[in-house]
Amino acid sequence: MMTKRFFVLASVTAAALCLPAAAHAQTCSDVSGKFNEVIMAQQSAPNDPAGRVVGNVDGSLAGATTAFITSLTPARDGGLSVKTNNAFATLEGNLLFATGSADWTFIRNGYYQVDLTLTVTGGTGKYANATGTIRILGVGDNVGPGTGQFLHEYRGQVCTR
Amino acid sequence: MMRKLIIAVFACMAAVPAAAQTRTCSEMSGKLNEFILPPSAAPNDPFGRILGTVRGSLQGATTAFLTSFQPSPNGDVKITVIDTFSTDEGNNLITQGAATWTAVKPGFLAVDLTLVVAGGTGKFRDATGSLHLLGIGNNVGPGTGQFVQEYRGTICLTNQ
Repeated sequence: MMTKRFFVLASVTAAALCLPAAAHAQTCSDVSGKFNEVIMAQQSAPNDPAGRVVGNVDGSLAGATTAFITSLTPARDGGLSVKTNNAFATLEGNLLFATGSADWTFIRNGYYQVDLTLTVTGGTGKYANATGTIRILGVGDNVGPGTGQFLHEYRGQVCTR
Repeated sequence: MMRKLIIAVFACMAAVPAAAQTRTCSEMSGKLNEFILPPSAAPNDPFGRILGTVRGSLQGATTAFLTSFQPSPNGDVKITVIDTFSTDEGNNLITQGAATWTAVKPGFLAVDLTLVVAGGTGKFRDATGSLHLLGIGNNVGPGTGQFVQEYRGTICLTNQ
């Protein structure tokens, strides 16, 4: 009898301890799609000295995106190592924030092959406290200060609570 | 007589480039849903930046930053802004605007904004015109809140 009472008490306690963990469990979803980014003219982003893009997103994160370069370092063979700060505004009304690290491989003047990994840093609405990573592969066309565009595909996983 | 004919020919020749550069004006309208970005997403814009989605004639994305911000004692705010639209077609439209945000209650504002077209890329290169935006700012504060707006106006493009 004593053993049974102990077992019940232990089970209830264990279940109670598990509840907060279950309530905060993360759900991870695959995300994928395409987006285009246009490099903004300097007058549209004069406070971002290394440049800013604005673009349209299709797929899981359909909506709008903007990003600015936080560092730009020359790499071998004319390429660039780039750090970015990205924001997505979905049609649903949620914001998703990420920081990025990219290799821009030089193809020819103004043209780069882009391999960018975004690390999700949070967001608003359903993306509050989100985590995850998104890999972006694409091409930069006619890229220069205040001119050019990027065409990308993205694929990754975003985890939300 | 001959002199008049020569003058007439030159007059027609001079008029040809003008005719080739006539402008076509189109009515624009639609809706905007703009989100105020947190400082971490726009640390270099001291008065803040928004990112939004655009429906209607300028369908695509928009981002804007405040170039001035003047609050008044009654809660209204006068702002100036540079707003860039990136359409699904891949053209950028750059505008400059001035607005009064009329206080409704703390954090909630009625927006009356006029954007003057300042150029762009692709089909909006050399564009002129203006857009009038009416809407509401919900829960607006530093790095938080959103604006829901309707836009209506005219944009004129040079015929190619």
